[in-house]
Amino acid sequence: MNRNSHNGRSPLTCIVPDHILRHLAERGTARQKDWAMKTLITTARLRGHREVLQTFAESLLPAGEKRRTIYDAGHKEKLPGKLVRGEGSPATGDKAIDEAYDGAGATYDFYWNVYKRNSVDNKGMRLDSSVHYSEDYDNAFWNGKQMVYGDGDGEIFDRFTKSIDVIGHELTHGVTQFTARLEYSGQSGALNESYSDVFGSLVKQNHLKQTAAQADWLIGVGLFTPNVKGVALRSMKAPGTAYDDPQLGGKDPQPDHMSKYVKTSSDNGGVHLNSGIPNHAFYLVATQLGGNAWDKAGRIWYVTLTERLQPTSEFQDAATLTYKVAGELYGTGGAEQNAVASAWDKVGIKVS
Amino acid sequence: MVLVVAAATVLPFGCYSQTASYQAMSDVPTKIEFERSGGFAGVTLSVVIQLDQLPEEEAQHLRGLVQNAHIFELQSPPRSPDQADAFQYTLNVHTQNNSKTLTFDESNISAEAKPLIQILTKYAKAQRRSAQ
Repeated sequence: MNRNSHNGRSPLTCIVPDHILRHLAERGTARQKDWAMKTLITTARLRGHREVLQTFAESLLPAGEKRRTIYDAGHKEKLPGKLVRGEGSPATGDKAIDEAYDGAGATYDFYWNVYKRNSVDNKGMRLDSSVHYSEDYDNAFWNGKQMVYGDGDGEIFDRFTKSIDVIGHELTHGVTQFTARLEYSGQSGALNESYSDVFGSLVKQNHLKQTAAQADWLIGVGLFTPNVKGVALRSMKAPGTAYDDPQLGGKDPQPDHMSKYVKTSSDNGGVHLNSGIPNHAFYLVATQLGGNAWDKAGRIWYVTLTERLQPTSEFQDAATLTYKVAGELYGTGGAEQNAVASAWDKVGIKVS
Repeated sequence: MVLVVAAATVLPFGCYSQTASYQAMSDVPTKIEFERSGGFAGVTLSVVIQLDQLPEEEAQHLRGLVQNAHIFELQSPPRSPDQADAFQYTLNVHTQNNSKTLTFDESNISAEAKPLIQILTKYAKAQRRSAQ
């Protein structure tokens, strides 16, 4: 059978194109969904289209129900690796596997319960993670499709699943990818990093049921081995104070003010350094407003990320837009909007 | 500041003869500057290696890896889209009259350059250990 002769149409119905079937399967009435799914799965079976089956599986799942899969990369660099735990299956006893599973769950629940966001793409995308990646690998990253975690080198870094905010951080890169698409270099890259730290920290605070005043505002507690002089990788409360150790090149280099902005070609233009500036602004708003940081400060930041920022937005844009969003959500000239203006002012950015 | 690391324990030897194929003495690498930046932690790891200050077998091995990586013919590849928190590698290789700087992220390192990046990471970690 020549697949191309159907011009993307289902060979059985020959009337309704696949993209409309998919739309109906995802967004239609209950009856339309049922019919569209049946048609899609029948044609998928005939044509062996995995992608269609994926759409089908996603649309079957009610919003608010997560799907997690954890893979073991077996210390190699080929992704994703061997499937070791799926949704609903019991703990394995392997810490990295179970932490990746639980952390992805806490992050999904946070976004769903607080902002009614259904996974990173807001369409229930399956959350895939690979653990035990490479050898002595002291990193975790988002590759555009999934999370990847190393076990650390044992000298400086322990395993990267150990800290729940790391998992929230990585998944938030996924959220940014499906929303503002902030370019990963210079100021837009530092904003991308900062949004991941902000929501990574909020995932942790929500999980621990901590108010802004109770939270430690640290990123990556527990990742350093006891050989390192440092409490965490970054501090949103006091950027530049998380560690001080010659093995790490000295003191935590994050700036907390525009006057200390780091110009460099390393790290895509210092995206993990200059994120200290917007990180601190968020901390100031959240602690000024009090209560749970995810309620007001988090919502202002969430709406700005998902509905306002553009790929090339810079710190000034983030400041102006969070200020506008605070006014829209909580009233112009209210305590929330004033807190946003004051926080950005304290890190050296004026809003009006 | 130039730091030279003797890290015999990390070296799988075995490529000694490859430097023989350099066309001229002026093409032979003399110094390698290496940096790994970014990653979730944002902690930079770096090392500068003066090849003439290394034990000869180590220097030969590194010269062989530089040649296999075709550093002087390569261009920095474009950054992989949608990737976040990947390591960024910057490599600056000097010869007598030339130098070449390349930047990779970890998903776009060529297969030929990978062994060189891996061993330079080990040198940089050995230096970090000595900073303890």
